[in-house]
Amino acid sequence: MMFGSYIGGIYPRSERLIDATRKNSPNLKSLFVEEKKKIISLQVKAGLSYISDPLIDWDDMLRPFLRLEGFEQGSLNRIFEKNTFYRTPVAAGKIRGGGKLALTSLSTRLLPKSKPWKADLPDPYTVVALSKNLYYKNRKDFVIDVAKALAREARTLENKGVKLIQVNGPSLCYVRGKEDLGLAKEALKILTKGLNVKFYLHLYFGNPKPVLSDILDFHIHGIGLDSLAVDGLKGFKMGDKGLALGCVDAGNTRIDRPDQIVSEAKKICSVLEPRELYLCPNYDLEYIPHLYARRKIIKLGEALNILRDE
Amino acid sequence: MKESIFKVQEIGSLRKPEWLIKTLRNPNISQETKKAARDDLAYINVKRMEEAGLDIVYDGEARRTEMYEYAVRNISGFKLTGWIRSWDNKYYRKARVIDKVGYIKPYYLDEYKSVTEIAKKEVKIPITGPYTLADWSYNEYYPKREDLIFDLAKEVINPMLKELVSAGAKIIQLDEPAATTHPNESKLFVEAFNQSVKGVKAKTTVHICYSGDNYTTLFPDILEMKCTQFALEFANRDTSKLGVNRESRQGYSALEAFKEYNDPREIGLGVSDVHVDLIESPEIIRDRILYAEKILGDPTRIYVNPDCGLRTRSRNIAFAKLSRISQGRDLAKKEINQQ
Repeated sequence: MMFGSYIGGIYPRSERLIDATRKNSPNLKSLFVEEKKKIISLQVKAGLSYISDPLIDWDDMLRPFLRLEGFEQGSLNRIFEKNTFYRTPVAAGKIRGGGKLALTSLSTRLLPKSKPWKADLPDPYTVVALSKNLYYKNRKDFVIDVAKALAREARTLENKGVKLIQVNGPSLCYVRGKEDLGLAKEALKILTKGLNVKFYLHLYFGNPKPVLSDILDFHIHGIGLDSLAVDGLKGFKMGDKGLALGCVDAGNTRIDRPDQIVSEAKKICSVLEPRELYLCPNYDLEYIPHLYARRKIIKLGEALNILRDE
Repeated sequence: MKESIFKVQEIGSLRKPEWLIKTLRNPNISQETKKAARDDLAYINVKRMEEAGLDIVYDGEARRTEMYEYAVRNISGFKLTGWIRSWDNKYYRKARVIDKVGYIKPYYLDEYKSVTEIAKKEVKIPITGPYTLADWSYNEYYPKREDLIFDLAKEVINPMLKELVSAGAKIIQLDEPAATTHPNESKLFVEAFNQSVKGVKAKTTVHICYSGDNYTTLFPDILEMKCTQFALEFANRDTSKLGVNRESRQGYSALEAFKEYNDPREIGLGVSDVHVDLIESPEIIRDRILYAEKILGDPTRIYVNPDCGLRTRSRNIAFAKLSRISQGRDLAKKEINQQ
């Protein structure tokens, strides 16, 4: 089985950068670049298979996409079970545009030429689930329009050289009902259509079990699962899908032991039998301080090395 | 005349002015001078709240670094780590729990005594509750999360509340912004609250905010809470249209649950959004209050406050918002008295 590793989502800012953003320091832009370089270099040194822009300039996972035509910025709302908040997208008109937004945070000049690149996009259904709708008469039109806009983003990312797109879909864990699952599936199909990029749909902040059998049928290459939420998945087989296993806990400062990460991954793989395996954090590392995120990436790399040695 | 209706109160923190921050960060200034500077700010905050027309005041948490950090610095078992985003460029410092938590000292007692010497109005002391303290920390010590929460409730918060009551505290607000974070833990949250206030002979209120689900997951467990008042955030999710109808007052739909369950307790009504600089008009504040009165049916149950602490806003805006709340309250009171 092929295996590798990557990180996704927003990486925590260093205390120096936090301080600079608070003071709106004149050299803020260069500090962001400097910090991105360090985090990218850390990923390379740790031996991760795909290298990501750390997205430290994103305010939340939806914010860049609020610039799509039709969206307005709404109230603050809690990000699932976290004490961190996002601005609710408000659909005040038909959603249009897309194609340049994710690119503003894909620092192509900083990413290494020697390694494949990875980028993040939100799952269209999740965007709609976390939005307020003041325009669409039916939700299906809303989801489809968001999917089309995000598909333009995905195409641009592919054109710029991205090889893997992590699609963040926490809201999918909460979908109950075939109609909505069908809608989510259709949206993913629009997002991925005609592109030669690996798409991994990450499910976190919830229990994936009720939806997993349906999602295994989605038009994607693999599924990201939080290893803390995979209890009770006996009986599921990944089939032709890969697994991005969230085996590094981004919700706790306790440092995961590489040998334990590996043994947990093996145990889960023996049940789910994925086509390929990526070791990942279970979600964005921004929920732990910068120093701990750094340590966790190092441990992730060490775990990957153990797997390689074996 | 219903004079005692719609009392205006603050929720907690106010932004610290630049002069205080510079003083606190200056290594050449003595601890005594720094303490005096904090005391000065506490005095200013209390007086400005009273001038703004508040009926119930505190000191804007002038003596605390921040609601969470101040508490965990004064409880054994915690070790502060780094900064975590709350939203945008707003961050707070989180702590690891590396040992059994324990009560070291009544860390709010001195500030409480000091406020009572300054304030001419009623005093309500805000205290960070056990559930939030646990939820905002990285638990590396307790095998079970609930053990950490109950240790904080029983071993730290409860004895501290009792000491405050002994010192004369009449109104105590437990701040539990994390209450709605985990929808399946509402029972645990309620039990922890009740353990915290067990045997505490004072009016206890709870402040909850930024629920992603409009507080729905707290019901019906929230009805078992041994508190007198629920001080909640609403304005953040409301429209800016004037009106005392459901469409204009979308942000206040959660009030219907209190009515549906026939819960008779007070509501601390969030009428001002603390995350925007817009200083709401007295008329919109009036309508928010009157809508709550229409739903709940009893004006004496309604207290009026900002959605949350105003520390995210500049001091000028914060006090302007508080003044507008008082003005809006006066308009609402006039309407009710004319009925």
